[in-house]
Amino acid sequence: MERTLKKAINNWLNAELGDDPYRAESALRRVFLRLPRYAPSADFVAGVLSSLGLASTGLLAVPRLTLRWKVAIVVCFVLVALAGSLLPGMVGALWAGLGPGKAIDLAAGLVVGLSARFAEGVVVWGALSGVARTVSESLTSPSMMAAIAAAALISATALRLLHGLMLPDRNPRYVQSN
Amino acid sequence: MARPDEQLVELVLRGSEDAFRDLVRRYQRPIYALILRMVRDPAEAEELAQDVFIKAYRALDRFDRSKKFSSWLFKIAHNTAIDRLRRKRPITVPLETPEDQADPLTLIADRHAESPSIAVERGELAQAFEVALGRLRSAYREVMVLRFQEGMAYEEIAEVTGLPLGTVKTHLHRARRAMAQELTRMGFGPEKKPDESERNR
Repeated sequence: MERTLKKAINNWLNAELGDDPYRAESALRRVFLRLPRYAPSADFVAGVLSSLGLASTGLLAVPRLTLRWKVAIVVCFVLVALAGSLLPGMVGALWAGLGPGKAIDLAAGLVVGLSARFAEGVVVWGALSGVARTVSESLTSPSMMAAIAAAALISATALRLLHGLMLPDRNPRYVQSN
Repeated sequence: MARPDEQLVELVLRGSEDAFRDLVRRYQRPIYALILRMVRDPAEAEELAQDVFIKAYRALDRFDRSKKFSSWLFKIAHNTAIDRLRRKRPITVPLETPEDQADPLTLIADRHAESPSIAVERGELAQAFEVALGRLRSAYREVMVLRFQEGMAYEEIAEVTGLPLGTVKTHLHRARRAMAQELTRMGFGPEKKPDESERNR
């Protein structure tokens, strides 16, 4: 059996030297079968249909589903129906176990707990506001304002220098892994 | 299971766009390949191949359903390609083609190659074969493709091309011989046996 195109071509040329045209044609056919297959572009079919104004395989077109997808959709519907039939029973069982009295107790406890935590929060907030008042009084003095401005200027300059030093390291040539 | 052409044609005539899409998918490669080998330009071949299907769709109501649909479609392809060739001078490529003036055909990578080296080998050999095929007259090239690529019978080729049966056979015979000579000149052919090689020294 011919494994390569070269062998197929040689076999055909050998057959052409003989007196059997049918053998030569058969050999030449095997050559053609071994040639790479030409194909138009991927959107050839869509182009034809579009030129004729026929439905294309666009977003609005409903795709034909394989059997596997159809089975999956049916199974999903069955599971949803099953869940829908079981859910009311489960909710009912939960309510029956909990009871209205217990539900009210739980809600009341939640409100009381939140209120207590809120009161604690107010105390903490009061302390923090005292600290903030002290800090703001000291910061508004002229000397303190000048010191803060100088610190900001020095920080900005330092960051700019750091950015300039780091710039070569951000070049893709340097971060290439291979 | 693929539906036969007759069934698809019937469905198309009843307005089924899916059936026509199936027909286009089924014949896009062979029609394109035939036209490509005739006009030697991939972009032009694709445009002409699309024209073939458009013409076929519009003329489908006049198609004689007692005949083979494929023959009818290939006849449209033949007429379309011939019309284009008559309007321009055909491209001829010398056999010894420098790399920078390679054959305009671009070979599609063979996905079924056993290995990259085999794919490369097949690519170069296929290129040589296509160049040799390209040196034939367009009429010879066409009958070669219809016979050896599409496996058509002589009678069917005669129907597609409109040539007499005898002329088809003559064309095929001469085309085979001409290609065999070209490829032998390129160095293909049966290898000589060692004793023959010794005798020739």
